[in-house]
Amino acid sequence: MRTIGLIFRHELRLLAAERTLWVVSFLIALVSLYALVNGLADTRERESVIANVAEQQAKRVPAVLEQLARVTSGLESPDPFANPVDPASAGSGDVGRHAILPYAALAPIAFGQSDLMPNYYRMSYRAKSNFMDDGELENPWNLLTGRFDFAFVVVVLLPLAILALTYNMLSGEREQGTLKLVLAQGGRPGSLILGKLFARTFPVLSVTLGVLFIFVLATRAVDANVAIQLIALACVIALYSAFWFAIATLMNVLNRSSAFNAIVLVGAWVGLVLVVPIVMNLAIQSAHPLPSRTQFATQNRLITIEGLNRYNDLLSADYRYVSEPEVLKPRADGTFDVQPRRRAHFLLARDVDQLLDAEREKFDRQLKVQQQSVDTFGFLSPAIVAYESLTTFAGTDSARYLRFQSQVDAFHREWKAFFEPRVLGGRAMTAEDYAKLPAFAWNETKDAEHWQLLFMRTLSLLIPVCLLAFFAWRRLSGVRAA
Amino acid sequence: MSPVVRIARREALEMWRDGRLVAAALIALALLATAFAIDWQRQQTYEIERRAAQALDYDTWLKQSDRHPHDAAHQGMHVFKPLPALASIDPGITPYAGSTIWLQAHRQSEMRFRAVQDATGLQRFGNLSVAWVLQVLAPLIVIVLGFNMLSGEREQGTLKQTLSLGVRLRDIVFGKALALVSAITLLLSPALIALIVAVATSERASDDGLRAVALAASYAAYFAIAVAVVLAISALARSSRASIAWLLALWIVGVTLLPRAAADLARELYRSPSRAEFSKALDGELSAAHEAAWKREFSTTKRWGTELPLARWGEALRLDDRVGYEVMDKHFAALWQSFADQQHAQALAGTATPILALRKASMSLAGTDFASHRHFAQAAERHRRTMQDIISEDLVHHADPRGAGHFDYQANHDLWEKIPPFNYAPPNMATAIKEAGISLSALALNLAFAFCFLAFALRYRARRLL
Repeated sequence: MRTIGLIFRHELRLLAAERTLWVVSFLIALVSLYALVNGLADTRERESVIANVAEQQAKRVPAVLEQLARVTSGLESPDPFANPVDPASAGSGDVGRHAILPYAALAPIAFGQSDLMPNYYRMSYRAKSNFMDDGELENPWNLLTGRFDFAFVVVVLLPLAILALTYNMLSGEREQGTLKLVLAQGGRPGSLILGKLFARTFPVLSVTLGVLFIFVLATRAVDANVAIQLIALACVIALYSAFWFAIATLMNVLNRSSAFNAIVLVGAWVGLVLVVPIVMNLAIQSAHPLPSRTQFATQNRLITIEGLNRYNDLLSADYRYVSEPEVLKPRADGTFDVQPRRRAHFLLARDVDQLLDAEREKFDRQLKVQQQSVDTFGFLSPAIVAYESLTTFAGTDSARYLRFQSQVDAFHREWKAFFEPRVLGGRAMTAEDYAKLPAFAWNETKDAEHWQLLFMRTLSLLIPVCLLAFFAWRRLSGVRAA
Repeated sequence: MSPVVRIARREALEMWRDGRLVAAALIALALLATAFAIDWQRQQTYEIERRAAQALDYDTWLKQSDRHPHDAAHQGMHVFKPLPALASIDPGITPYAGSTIWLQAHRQSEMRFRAVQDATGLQRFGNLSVAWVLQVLAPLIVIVLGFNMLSGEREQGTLKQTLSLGVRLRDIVFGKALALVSAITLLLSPALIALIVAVATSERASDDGLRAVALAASYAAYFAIAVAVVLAISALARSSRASIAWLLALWIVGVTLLPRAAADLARELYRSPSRAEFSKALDGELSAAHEAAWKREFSTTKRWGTELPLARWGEALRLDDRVGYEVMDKHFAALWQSFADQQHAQALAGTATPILALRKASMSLAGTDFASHRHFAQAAERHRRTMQDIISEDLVHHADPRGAGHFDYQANHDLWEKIPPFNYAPPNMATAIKEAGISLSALALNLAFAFCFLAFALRYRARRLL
């Protein structure tokens, strides 16, 4: 143990004396900071969008209520298509109710799917094809390239920094002839390599995590829960780094040249970070293909046409409010003459949803199966595990967006169920109705599930690290001095 | 046998013997074959489905029952973007852009069903395609095969020996370059076969053939850049270790770091709106334009209120559409222009990193870039407007005269037939070349740089050796 400490301090002094460590640490700090600033700017922009949506939503219901009071007391003649008394107006989006997915505290660390999937939907009883199939607005070229976020720095660049510092830990000494001297003085290869390893792990991790911690603490609201997540995140990053340190260590005890080590390690990086994820993506898509969107569009079309035929009579009835403006007001018994065309639109949307839901279900189910496969086979590449973990901490992972969509779907059903008796039964909207309007409350995953997933991911990083360390240990006695 | 060929043969033999060539060939073959097989099959299936769906969609339109034309317009039509044959080589932005547009009344729609939305987060690591292998991995293969071609000989002292035999340095370098080029050609020949298959099975074989030639030439230029840079650095570097370190660093920065940094920079330079901003601006301007038009034509700003008799609804719909076209053109043009500018800025950044230039050129030539996407979206919107105009005219002539019985009116087959089927012709080769102009120039510039660099490196090395 003392030898390790000795070598550790000695190595640190040596590393500090030469350029490499400083350059590498500086570059890591620089790209981490840039990535975090980049992520924060984007998160703040998106947060202000949803804050704005929430603000508009909060103002909207009181405004509608005031208008309702004016209309019922006869002070104002209502707009036929924005009539607070008319359940068809309220239900089709006039109350401005939204389903909003909040951004997580750690959102700036990974863009994930946030540049692709909307974080809010405006609720209405219209069919889901009218509002749930659109994505965020982003240049497809940028979606293809990906963004410069902290997840990119950790998953892609950090391993390179580690490999640059470690590929010739022993081989370099052997090539210079100094390894012989150290071992002749009674140093054991094990202590030597551990000392060298710690001398490199320590600066790399303290720079990366230091920048992360300071940045998050300075810019985000950190409560106890976030603090725990931050520590868990640090563990994942440390484990992912440990994987690359371990693989470099193994290469170093195999007695090959530095150039050979460099090529093999870069090969491992290319394979695990670049190739395996996209090949796995293709494999998973081929193994669990989604149904065809082209056919889905066609089904939508056919179902809509059937619906139009079914409700042709209602659709052919004319708007009566032009000749009889009093139909825009509630009757004394609390009923309201919802225009037949609007009733037809409600029914049409309801039927389209009902008939198309089975199809949508197939997409969702397959996507869930695909996600499960990623969780199951992700261990084949630590890069996948690290990326998935980082996006989970950031709350921008595809699983969270899928949960959001399924909660929006449930909310949409609740919304339609609320309005169905009112629209079809012709019941005027009252202040009590507005008070009872369904509201969306985002339900974050249960902690247990979250930690279970994290545990599995930690394990799938820890096992390869242990295996690599074991093999390296087994080969230690074979380390040649020259 | 000329010394160049002799040296090339010896180099090739060495690469073959030490296993690097075999390993690289196997990896390249496996990845290229998998990527092409899957993308080609996807493209073929998609095209079959698309044709069937497009035909069925129009058929349904024609055979629909009698109904009020505005309801028909609300239900609208679907149009499906064709996937060019060369998408099986370079899918470009295809998975990240939509494929289907629902042409409906009132509003220009966007393309929906982006494949990336129907995928897990893994999709964000990138897209395996022939183009990806060629753009990202091929330069790495050139590096691994060539990093020690000159530095290794120098380390072993054989370079001086060969020179002392009277062989010129130029011939040695040409010989090595020839070996490297032959090896790369051999390794990547599956990609060439894939390209030929894609063209041969294409329905626009003549246009696609020309595109394929330009595509092959662009990739050849890219590999030539890689070969020149690898040899130059191998000549300049103090040792093979330094050579590999420099080359790997260049590759990492060029392939992983710069593209993302360029994307971020381009986003800063040419800001594109978020969906919320875009909708808000478009909605605001649309309602202002509508209000102004209604005030002028119907002396009211209250839309669809009691002031507007049903006898003028057709007229009002027509007015809404016409006013809206201009506003939507403005907003969509600005949005798309910001995307196009971002892309052009990144193609310009291609002067610094050839992969960006090649990526853009490759997508443009394959017909899978944003310009092709936009071309389709514009054609679809023109079709929507044709449909809207015909329907509004019909309303003005047939529904409006009925007064209060506006919605009793039902149009029939005669009207449905007036709407033409959606026939879309993708832009041709000339347009693609024009679109790829900046990136092709950037690539050519890179090639010139690379050769100058190699010439400089050789002169430097020759001076040192003498």
